[in-house]
Amino acid sequence: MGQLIISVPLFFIFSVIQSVAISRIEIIAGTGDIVLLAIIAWTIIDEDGNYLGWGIIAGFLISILSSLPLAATFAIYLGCALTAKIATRIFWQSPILSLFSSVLISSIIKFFIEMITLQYMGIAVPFFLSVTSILFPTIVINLFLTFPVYVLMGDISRWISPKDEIYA
Amino acid sequence: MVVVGLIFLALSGILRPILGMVMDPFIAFQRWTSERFMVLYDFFTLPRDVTELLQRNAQLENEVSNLQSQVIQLQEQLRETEVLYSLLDFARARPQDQYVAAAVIGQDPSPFLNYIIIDRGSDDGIRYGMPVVTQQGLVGRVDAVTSSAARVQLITDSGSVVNVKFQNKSESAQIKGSVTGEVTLDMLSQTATIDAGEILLTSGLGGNYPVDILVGQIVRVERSANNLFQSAVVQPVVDFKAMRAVLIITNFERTNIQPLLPDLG
Repeated sequence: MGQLIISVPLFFIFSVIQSVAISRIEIIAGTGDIVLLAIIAWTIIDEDGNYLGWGIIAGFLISILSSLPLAATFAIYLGCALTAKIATRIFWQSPILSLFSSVLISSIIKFFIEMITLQYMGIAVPFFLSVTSILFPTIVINLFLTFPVYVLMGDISRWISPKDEIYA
Repeated sequence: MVVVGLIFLALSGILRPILGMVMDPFIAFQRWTSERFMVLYDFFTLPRDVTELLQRNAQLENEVSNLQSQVIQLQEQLRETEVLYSLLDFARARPQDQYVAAAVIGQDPSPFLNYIIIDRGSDDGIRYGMPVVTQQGLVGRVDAVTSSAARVQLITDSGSVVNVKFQNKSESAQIKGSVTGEVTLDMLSQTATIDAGEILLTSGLGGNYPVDILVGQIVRVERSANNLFQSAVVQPVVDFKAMRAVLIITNFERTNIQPLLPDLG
């Protein structure tokens, strides 16, 4: 419960950084998503964490800043949290592999949810142009930011819930 | 008598060799002692001076960094002042409109959407649909409002459609945004002759924007005999990436023409 409470100001800060800074850093038309990366990193680092709660909180906060409907942002960030959880179970021996695979798959999930939402809203989205101009650059930026965010979330996670180290 | 005698001998210079014999070793010893003492003195005092110098150096470096940050702050203020002066010039050039200035404080987190967030809301008189401009030209319109902030849909957004006209021609057309932020001119009659470099202004049709606001410039015309309309690539006059402040036209009454449109369903 404590983690969930702390995640509110934490994701609030990440959302503000996303809107103020990360969204301005573009490659072609793609931008990174620091909130998505934070959820994935935290889910992988803290296996007992309330990852669905983080997804809901992040989805709600991003929906305030974005013109995407609330359902879409919920779906994006819950999808990211679930992807990270599944990846952790599949690649349980290699957190780095689960981290990068989660980022890759989550970026694609986010892209498709946003595209479907826009189509539903009546906005024509050219598929191949979107893939080349938005999806690929977004993946590149996200992969570039993955490791710094992972290290940062590791420190934050240890600070929030320090675990006793067991020495054999 | 002895004293008087010694003074006399000293004044006459007779005692000089004797005094020299006594004084020379004394002075030599004093010089030697003085040199060693100064070495010791330096040894003990110089580190203290170095420490003081280091402290002073740190103080001065602190002052330099403070002054540098002040310079950066002042440069930032100067830049903001320049932006505000430009906005003021624009506002003076259109005295019929009332404006509220706002700072750009964020962007939509989604790469598909071209929206900005500004720091003025309904408490400042901002309402849904109000046009947003800069000193350069049209930015977009207010899409959502809270009490202290608002979200503005840029003309580059894929959901944005603006009715435009040419500065030196009678033809009207529409400009549309896209997911990549490119702006294209559409719905222009095949009979119209347009060239690159022509200036586009808002036409006021549709009632969403005031008339005669600068929008952009034609970059490339794409004409095809198979299409119903001509299209063109448009370069907006506003640099959306470098945008720091905007003006919201608060006295513009948006006209809702929806009920007048024929129901095709």
